[in-house]
Amino acid sequence: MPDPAVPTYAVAPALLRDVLPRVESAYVLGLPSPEVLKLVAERSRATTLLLAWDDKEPAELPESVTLEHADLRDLAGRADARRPLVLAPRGLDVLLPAGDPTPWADRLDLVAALTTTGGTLLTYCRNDAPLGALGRGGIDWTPADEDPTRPVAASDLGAALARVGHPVTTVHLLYGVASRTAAAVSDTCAARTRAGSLPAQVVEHVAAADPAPTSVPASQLVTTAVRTRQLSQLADGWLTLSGGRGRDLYWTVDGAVVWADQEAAGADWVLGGDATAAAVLPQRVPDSDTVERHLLQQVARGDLETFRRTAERLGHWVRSSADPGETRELRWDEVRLVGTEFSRGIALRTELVGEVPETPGSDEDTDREPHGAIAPTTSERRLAGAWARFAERVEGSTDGMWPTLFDRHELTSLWLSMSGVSPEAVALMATSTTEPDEDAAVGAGRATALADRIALLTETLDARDEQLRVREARIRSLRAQALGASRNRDKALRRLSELRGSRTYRLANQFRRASLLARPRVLAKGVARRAESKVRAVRRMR
Amino acid sequence: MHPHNRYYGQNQVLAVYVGDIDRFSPPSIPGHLQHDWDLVHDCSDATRLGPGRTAYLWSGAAARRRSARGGSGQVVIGAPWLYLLELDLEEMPRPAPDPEDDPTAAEVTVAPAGTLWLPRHDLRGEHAARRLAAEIVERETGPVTVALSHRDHAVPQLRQAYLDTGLSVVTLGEREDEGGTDDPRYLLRLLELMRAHRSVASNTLDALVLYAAAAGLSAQVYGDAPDGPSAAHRDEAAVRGSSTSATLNDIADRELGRRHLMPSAELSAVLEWSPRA
Repeated sequence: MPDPAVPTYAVAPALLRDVLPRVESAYVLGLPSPEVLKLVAERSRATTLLLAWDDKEPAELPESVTLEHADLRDLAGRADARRPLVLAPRGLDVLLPAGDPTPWADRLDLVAALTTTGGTLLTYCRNDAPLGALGRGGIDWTPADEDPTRPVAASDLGAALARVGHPVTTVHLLYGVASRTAAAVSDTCAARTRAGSLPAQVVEHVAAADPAPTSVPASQLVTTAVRTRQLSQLADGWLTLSGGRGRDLYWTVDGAVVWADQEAAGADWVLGGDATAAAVLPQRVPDSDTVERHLLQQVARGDLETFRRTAERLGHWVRSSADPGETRELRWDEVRLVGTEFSRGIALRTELVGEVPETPGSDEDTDREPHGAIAPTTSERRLAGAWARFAERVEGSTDGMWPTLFDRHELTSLWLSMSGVSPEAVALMATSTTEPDEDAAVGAGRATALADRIALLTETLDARDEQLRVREARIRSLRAQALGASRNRDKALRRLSELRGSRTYRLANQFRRASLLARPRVLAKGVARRAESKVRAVRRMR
Repeated sequence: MHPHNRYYGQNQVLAVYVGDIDRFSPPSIPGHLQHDWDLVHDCSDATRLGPGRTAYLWSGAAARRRSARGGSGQVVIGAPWLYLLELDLEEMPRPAPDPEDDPTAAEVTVAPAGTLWLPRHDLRGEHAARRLAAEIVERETGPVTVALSHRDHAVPQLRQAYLDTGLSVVTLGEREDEGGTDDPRYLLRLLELMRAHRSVASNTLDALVLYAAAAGLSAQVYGDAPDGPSAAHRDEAAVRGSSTSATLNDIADRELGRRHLMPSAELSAVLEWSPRA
């Protein structure tokens, strides 16, 4: 188990290997990791390991290293004690016995007094106010309040070193204390880092590997730090070097250290480092926006047309990939946009993580039936994975483009359709997707929206009920009118029948017929009409 | 679910465009569908929507204005008018033909002719109408049909002001039609009316003029504008009196959201008309 008080960085030996000069003699103040001590011993003919009197002694020391328990204050007063290389890789807090009240600035004076003019001074300083602590219960300001000379920003550290006559040439921001997943980013590189660029991707990878629970997702934390030029404040510590210059970026791939350098902002990143690890990485990575950043910009601009076009091109790019058997998981935060083309960028995770399960017999899109209800192809599954991850990462940021109540699953299905995945395949993949965990704030917002939706549906039901009542009343009214008309008709027919059956009517009818004798033409017409109708009736009967 | 969604038959247009939906009774829309140009007739209901309701807007410009007013939960889908222009009008619900009608009569097509005038009146009503009628007679050389809103058409004096100068007068009809009927809705009636003419004119720049420009008709704005402030005064100043339509077409594309039209499956999903898993 590493001592939590001792910051060990997997990347530190690689960084020191690039920056430490070969010298006659060197001081190492405080016990570093064995790798660092071994490296210093290689670069210096005589190395003295200075420990406070209460510090533990190492079990084993390299041959050229001398161990000395001494009070720094006594040593700093001697002119012959100066050396061309002085390292304080554990910081200045361990230089004096525990509980010593000497302020940090005075300790720096003591260290500076041990370094020859023009010599190389390497110091470590823990960041007492890392931004990540805000998501883990807040920042503990006690050390800074107790000793106001302690640096709380990388710029404070630079100013303090300049004051003691050793201006800083490089500050490397260290991420991932006591972790195999670690990274170091030079301050100049951090200053020109954009959201989604390689250093941001590396730092996010390290932050995401931190097992400590946090209320702020790593992607959000790093993006905020990068965009507000606060990447140095997100670091767990700073390693300053007065004299010498390292690479821009170091990180670990499966425990091996890889570095990247960039000539100027916008230029390609050139990768190198451990031969085995570097062999599986591209030699150059473009310093362009990631697909995720590009898509987020379209969401922010409300430019659905460009978003849709990009999604369509991504679908085509994945399907027409040179290797249709490719099963590695796709992530839009790794794929980069180079002009109108896509570049895979680099994947920081290990090979076996994020493997997309292969679908036997359906690697090629051409295998699909015209209206295929067959299983989705591997490329469709990779697209589904990429869009699902994108939906998770941008949750809460899509308001203005798609309805608030759209969940990750609905957004993923929509984006898959934009990428040219058939509705059948989308439906099949949707049913196999498990419901992801939601962020608490997003979940609370969604609950509020759902409550409002329930209220809306209730209002709608009330309105529909009212409409139904009006229509039913209308139907009842029409039915009553129809029934009334029918009753009236029956009544009228009955009365007509009664009238025709009455003696008065029959008598009047007799008089009417008798009166026709006085008008023979009318009588003849009437008889002819009656006769014709009788004849027609007989014909119809045939 | 908002009663405004039935205005102008916009929901029916969207239902026909999406397809596979009962065209006579389109499903509810879970929010508020923009039914007029917000710069000219802003609907306060669209701003007061709850968090679970979506404001379906015509254009990105409308979305930016709504955001600036503090609105959220909006989705830009493009104006239903543009979806109507994409449709084959035969797909739109219509009454079944009367069997007693002459079947050959429907096949007779009349070439578009004349100008469709869409006046807007303020409180000066009849007086403004008479001035407009005089100006129309003075400027227009061909036949003119004056299409009045149902409210204006209900005022005999207003109708008479145009009839007295020899202009034909028709009504655009109610904006809210009886649900479930097969009568042509407002937008369809308007489109057919516009397509029966060669050009459209109005005394103010409003949604109808944008509709005409989007439908490819020559549109002009001239005559006394109705009183009252208009948030679209900059756009109106740019097109007033101009006979070139490029500017007007640009405004129509921008405000009706031509870039934001969605494929039918996507529109169905966004309107929450697709079955939810």
